Amino acid sequence: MVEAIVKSKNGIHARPASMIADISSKYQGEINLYKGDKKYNGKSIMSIMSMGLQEAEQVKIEAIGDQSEQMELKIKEIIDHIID
Amino acid sequence: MIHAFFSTLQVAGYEIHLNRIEKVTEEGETVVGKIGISEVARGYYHAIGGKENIVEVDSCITRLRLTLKDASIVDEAACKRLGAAGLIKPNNKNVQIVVGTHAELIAEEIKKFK
Amino acid sequence: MFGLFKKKSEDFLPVLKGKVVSIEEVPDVVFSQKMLGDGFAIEPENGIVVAPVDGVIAQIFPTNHAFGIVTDSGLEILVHIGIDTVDLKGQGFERFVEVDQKVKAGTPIIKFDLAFVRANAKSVMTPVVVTNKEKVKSMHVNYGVNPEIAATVEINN
Repeated sequence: MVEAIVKSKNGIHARPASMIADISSKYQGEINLYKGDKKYNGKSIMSIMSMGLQEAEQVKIEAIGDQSEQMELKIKEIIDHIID
Repeated sequence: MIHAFFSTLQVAGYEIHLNRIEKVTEEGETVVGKIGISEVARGYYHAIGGKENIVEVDSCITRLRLTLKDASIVDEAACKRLGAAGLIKPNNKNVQIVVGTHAELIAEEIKKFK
Repeated sequence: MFGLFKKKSEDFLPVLKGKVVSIEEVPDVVFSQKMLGDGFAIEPENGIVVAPVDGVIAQIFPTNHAFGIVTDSGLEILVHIGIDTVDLKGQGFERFVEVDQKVKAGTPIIKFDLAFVRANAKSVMTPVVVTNKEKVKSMHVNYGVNPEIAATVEINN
């Protein structure tokens, strides 16, 4: 499990959500995102957008499967760096 | 860490063009996101060996002109992932990276990391 | 009887009064290139966005410019009001419902100021997209002005 801080000024809206879902969907294991204690499916755009993540908010990323640490870092980097 | 980011994007079929992230599709490339110039610059900074390897950073229209302690350690693949069109190595202390018309912008950002 | 038979198809009401056009006409590649899924778009004449189907409100983005609705039959539908409207940071948008609320097709979900959005956002064109592509067997869209049914989606079960 790793933590990321949302960099995008508009938060994780349709555009960044679609990138996260796109990259997550290629992973054979599970991708879970957590806002507080609530769990969301990192492969579903609908689920990601329903987190309503705003700029500077914290999100936890959990990958379950092969090379899970690497995958968690990949998703973390996207959230930490995408600005729109 | 930033390496992972650019590598991830490339593997997933995205390309970096300065600060635009473009998805490669059959019809061509389409913009799907943006990153900061400083992130791109940080990618180049690491690709050229960081503070330990950089002697001087300069630019000329489309190219970064770098004086390095050792040009052989420059990660060419990483530069390509950042959108570089190519690398020129006249000798083992100098490298030119063709980054596009915003070379000056990138050079300025790299200098901030030194 | 309840839950025994899964619906094989869903009819989508137009979410706004106006003209139903191809999603490929939306001035944003994330929609026009179907990166989020297949769907259609509406060139709106008014500013009351209604639910296209019976379902549960899965999410309303904090700035009220987009919402997601999930049907019993398992379709996840994103309605995105205008293009680059996230930049308006909620100004001109008002929600009528809350997340997890069950709604019927035609229920008003969001009200927005059409003139304001037209003047201040990239576009008022509003895409309606099914985001879980694997559930869509086929989609038939009725293009044109104010059709009774905007689209019919056949569902993979």
